[in-house]
Parts: sequence; structure tokens; C-alpha cells
Amino acid sequence: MNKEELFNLRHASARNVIERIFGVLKRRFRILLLAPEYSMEIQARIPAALCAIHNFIRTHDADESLTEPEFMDYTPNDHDHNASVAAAAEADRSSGRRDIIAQQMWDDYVRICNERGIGEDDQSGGEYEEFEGEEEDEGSDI
Amino acid sequence: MLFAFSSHPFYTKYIQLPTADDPASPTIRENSKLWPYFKDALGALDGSHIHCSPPLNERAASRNRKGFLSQNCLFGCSFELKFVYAYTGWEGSATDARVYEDALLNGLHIPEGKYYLADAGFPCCEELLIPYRGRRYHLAEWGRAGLRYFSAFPSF
Repeated sequence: MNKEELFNLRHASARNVIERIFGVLKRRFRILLLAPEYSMEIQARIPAALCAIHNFIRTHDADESLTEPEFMDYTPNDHDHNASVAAAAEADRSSGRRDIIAQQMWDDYVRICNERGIGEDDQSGGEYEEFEGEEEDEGSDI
Repeated sequence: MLFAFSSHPFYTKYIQLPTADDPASPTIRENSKLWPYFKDALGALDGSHIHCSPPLNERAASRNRKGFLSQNCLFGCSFELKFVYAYTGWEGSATDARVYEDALLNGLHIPEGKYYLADAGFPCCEELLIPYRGRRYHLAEWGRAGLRYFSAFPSF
């Protein structure tokens, strides 16, 4: 585990919302799984219209949350795992903001591990869970 | 009906881009693994391939890297699971990065200092936060940008 991998894990966890919304949209509107033989202009409008209807439902149907999966911690798949392993050999243009965020995450992570007497290398793959239910002592003072 | 749902006023009422003044997402704020690190994130952005059946002369361009005919649609969503942006109609062979570049000219406004989370198929820039990546990640896609598009949307 290093700061790039920690960043990638949490980034994937937050970014996962877009995968979830795609899942909801495609389950709700099965027409998106077909290829209707309308003109391309019509076909291009269908997904946009369904997005607006999705928001309409989300705004007006209070029970809607019952039909969707819980917000879950992200489990990396191979795709993302490759990206995160490759992070060690990072060679692309770096983003200053990304490095700052990654460093901040890492510093807090190491501090919390030390406070609990856990070495950050001791729990390969399991570092994610140990933050559960510990919101209070986190550095949210910024 | 389709036009009613995909046009002003219905569409523009229910699909709205966040502004710089909007408060940070409660979903992020309440998660100690994400807050305060992603305090300036407005949501997530990604492309999705939607099946389509184009006319014969456009079929080659519509075939995506998974082998089926599609339009590549770019969607933005908030952490509260609402869409904030949709840009549809690009042929399936277009990369996410290419569609994103075009979306910036078609209504996708990202306020200064804010950004969306995106995957490594998107460019590394101020308006997007992408994961650290290695050389082989998504690289195969980069040489094959689409040359045409079916329609520009949204049209307000």
C-alpha cells in the first residue's frame, strides 16, 4: 500500500456512484438494452430523456431509495487493480492537486494506523474496513 | 413525448449542472474516507455505450471496442445519484476523452476550482480528477478518436 494506491481506492469508491446510476438507469429503462430502429436523432434523445425522467422520479418518489443497492464500499475489479498496481510505476503527467490530496489522505491514514498500533503494511487489502464507524476522530476540521 | 422529456422546460428543470456556490455533497461530507479530500468534487463523469442501430453507412464508425454497435454517451452525476449532465449521440468508436472534449463546447461547464471524478480514460486536467495510472491503462483507445457525430445534445 502506498499513497497512490490509497488514493486510487478511495477515488474509485467515490467515483463508483456513476456505475451505480448507470445500473439503476439500465434496470429501470430496458429500452436502453435494445437498439430501436428510429433515426439517429431520436436514438440520441432517448438516453437524455430517460436521465431527466430518472431525476424526476428521484425528486418526487420518496420510496425510490428502497429499490436501489446500498452505497457500498468499493471492491476493486481487475481493471482498477491494474491501474492501482501500476501506480507505483507512475510515469504520466502528474496533477498537483491530485498529489496534494493523495499526500493528505496518506498522512491521515498513517497517523490513524499509528494511533491504533497497526502497521500500515500489516493489513494488505484490508485497510479499507478499519475506518468504519470511526468518523469522530478523523481530521475533518479543514 | 420523447421531445418533451429531452427538451426545455422538463429537461432543463430536472437536469442541472451544479454551480460553484452549491454546498459540498452530504454523501461526501458524511464519509470520513472521502471528506475532506474530495470536498471540491461535484460528482462523477463517465461514458456509457448504449446500443443503437445506425444507418448502414455509419455502422463501421459505430462499432465500439467491445464489438457491438453503440452510441457513446457522456453522463455526469451527483453523489446523490442524480444526473447533472448528458451528452449523447457520439459514435461508439469515439473515446471518452474525445467525447469529453466536445462536451466542453456543448454545455458542460465546470466552475473554476471544482472538478468531477473520472477514470483513467479521461485527460488529466484541472476540471477532472483521475486515478494514478500506468502506461498500459486504456492506452489502446487513444489512437482511434471518432471523426463525426450524429447530433449535438442537449440543444438549449
